[in-house]
Amino acid sequence: LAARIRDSLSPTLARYVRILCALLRQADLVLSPRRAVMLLRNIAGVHAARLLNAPDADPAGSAFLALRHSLPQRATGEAVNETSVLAAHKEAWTSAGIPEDGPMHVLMAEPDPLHRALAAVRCASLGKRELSTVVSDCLAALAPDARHALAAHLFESDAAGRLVAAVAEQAAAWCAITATPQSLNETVQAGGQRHRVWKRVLSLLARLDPHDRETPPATNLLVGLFASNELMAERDPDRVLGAWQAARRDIAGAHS
Amino acid sequence: MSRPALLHNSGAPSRTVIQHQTAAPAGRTLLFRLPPEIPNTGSEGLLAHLTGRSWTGGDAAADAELRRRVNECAVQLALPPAAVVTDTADAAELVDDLLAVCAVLAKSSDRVYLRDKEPNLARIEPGRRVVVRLPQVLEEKQ
Repeated sequence: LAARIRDSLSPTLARYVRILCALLRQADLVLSPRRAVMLLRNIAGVHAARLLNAPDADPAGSAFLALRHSLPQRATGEAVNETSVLAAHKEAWTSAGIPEDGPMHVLMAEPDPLHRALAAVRCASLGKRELSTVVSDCLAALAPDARHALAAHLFESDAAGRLVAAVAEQAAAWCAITATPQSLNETVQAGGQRHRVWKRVLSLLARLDPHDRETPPATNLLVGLFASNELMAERDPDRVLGAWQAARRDIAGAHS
Repeated sequence: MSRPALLHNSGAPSRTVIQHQTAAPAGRTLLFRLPPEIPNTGSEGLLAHLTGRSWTGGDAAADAELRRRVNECAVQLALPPAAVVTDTADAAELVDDLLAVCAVLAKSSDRVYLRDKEPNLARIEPGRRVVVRLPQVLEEKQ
């Protein structure tokens, strides 16, 4: 029975496992290709066993039961977030039922949130709700600095107009930091941690090319994040600027 | 003579002031606000200013007519479908087209202007201003 189930459900289960692996990776649960194949076999086996017990057993329930008992992380003592696993399962199961040539399929298989959002923006056939779901997931999954870069891109590419109001509003809040001049006036302890962070910000800003059109948004980002106490450690300005520049390069590369 | 285990400084830690003002990225900033001579007279009053005639069709019809005009105007405006709204109006260009001002005020929150949003006529109020930021990249494309 398990072999017959595997044959009949194989295309859907393969899609489910592929999408699931991409989603679990975002939750820091990495499944090796060998483990993914094992999961597919386990789902078929669990479903066969459940069918013998109850003829109306649903494959989605079997898939989740098999998934929960196929994660290798527990054996090594790693914490497994059950909520993330359930969310990944639900999303992967829903997506696996969508026709294979649909754009959502390609998108869900893309593990990198920035690239996934860029692909979604390029996909003109995605509706407002679908695009907003993908974009809001990606914005939430990105590190803060790359998040600002994606938000800026949404407004520079007209894509923000294809988002539902709530998601556009959130993206606008992030974009506003880089798009508007920032003003800072603050008294700090000389030589203290905050002063050292500010000096690091100044040192980085001094190295930027004043004629480069990317310099003003990068400057606004660093000053804006410093003003809102989001740069706390001395290494934060380097990390933020590096991630912002890398994301902007990725975005430019994807559109060249 | 023994020394104290902890040496206390008498002075307070020295302080320093950080001041910085960044520049706006390339692009345009547009300022939308009702002219001061237009009082808060609701849809009927705004329609009277727009058409030059007093409105006699009643409140509900005035709201519907103003919504229709605002939606038509928003489609024709040289603005992207979505734009960031900021609170910094430095070097902003003041827009004096009354219908365009009504359209942007009705379709903007405090953070974003959305062309396809249902207009909220209650947001067209004297004293409220909306500063829309248009990135240069978008202007070049257009």
